[in-house]
Amino acid sequence: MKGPLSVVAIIAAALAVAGLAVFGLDDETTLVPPPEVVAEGFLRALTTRRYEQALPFLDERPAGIGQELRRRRKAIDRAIGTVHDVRGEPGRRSGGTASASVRLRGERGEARLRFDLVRRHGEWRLTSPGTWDEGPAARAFVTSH
Amino acid sequence: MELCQVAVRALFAYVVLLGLLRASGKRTVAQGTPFDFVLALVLGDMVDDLLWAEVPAGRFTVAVGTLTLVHTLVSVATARSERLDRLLAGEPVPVLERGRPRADAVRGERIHPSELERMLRVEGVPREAWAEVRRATVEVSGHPAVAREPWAEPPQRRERARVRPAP
Repeated sequence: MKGPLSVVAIIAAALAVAGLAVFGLDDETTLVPPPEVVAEGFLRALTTRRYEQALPFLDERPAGIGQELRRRRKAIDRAIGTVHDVRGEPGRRSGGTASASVRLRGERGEARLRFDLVRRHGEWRLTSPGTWDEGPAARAFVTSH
Repeated sequence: MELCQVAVRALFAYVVLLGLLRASGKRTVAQGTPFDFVLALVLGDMVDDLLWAEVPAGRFTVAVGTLTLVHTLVSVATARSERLDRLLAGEPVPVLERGRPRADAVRGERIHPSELERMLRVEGVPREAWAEVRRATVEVSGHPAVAREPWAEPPQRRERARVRPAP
C-alpha cells in the first residue's frame, strides 16, 4: 500500500502549497482564477444555457436566480443575437474586491458587461449577474459591426 | 506579469503530476490498457484548465489526485487478483494459432484480414512465414504479441557457439 499512501501524501503537499500561496501569500490571480476569467467563465456558461454551471460563479444565489439567469441570456440574445465570442478584461482590484468586464461578440453586434467581485475563501465570486457597462440603455451598450 | 503567472501554473502542474505519477507507480499511464490511455488524456486536459487559470490550483490537485489515487488503488487490487485484472483490463485474444488465423477472434476484435497481415508484418512475420507462428495474440493494450514455434526461434548465442562453422 506504499503507492496509494504516497499519492495521498503528494495530494496533501500540493494542497498545502496552493493553500499557502492563496491564504498565506495572498495570491489573487496565479493559483486561483483572476476576476476577468471568473466573469468570462460565468458568461460562457450563461450564453450557452448551462445555467447550473453558471451558478457557482455567483457569491449569492437568491431564490429565483435561475429565472433571472434565463432572462439575462434572453436579453443578451435580443440585443446582439447568438454570442460567438466571450472575452474577459481585467478591471480594478483592491483588497477583497475587484471589478472586471466581459466583451461579448454576437451575430448582430457587440456588448460589454461589467461585474463586481468579492473574494470568498480565496476565490473570486461575482456579486451580481452583471450590469451593462456602456451607457444606460440598450442602444448604448450594443454597437453594430 | 501574465507570462510569469503562466510559468508558475505550468511549474505547479508539472511538479504535482510528476509527484503523483512517480508515487503511483510506473504503470499508471503506461498505456498498458485502454483505460490507462483515457486517464492520460483526462490528466492532460486538466493541465490545460490550470494553465489558463480556469480552475484554482486546489481543485486541480483534488481532481488529478483523486483520479490517480483511484487508479493506483485499482492497480493494487488487480495485481492481487487475477480475476479482477481480467474483469477490468480484459484478456489477450489469440488471433493466429499454428499458423492459421482464428476467424472468430479476428471478427470479434474487428480486425480486417489485411490489418492482421500488417500487424504481424510489423512484428517481423510476413504472410509467407505464418507457419512459423505458434500463437499471435492481441494484447489488452491493442498491440500484437507473437510466439514462434520452437524450431522457428532465432538461435541463441550458446547454440550458435555450439554450431561451429566447418573449417
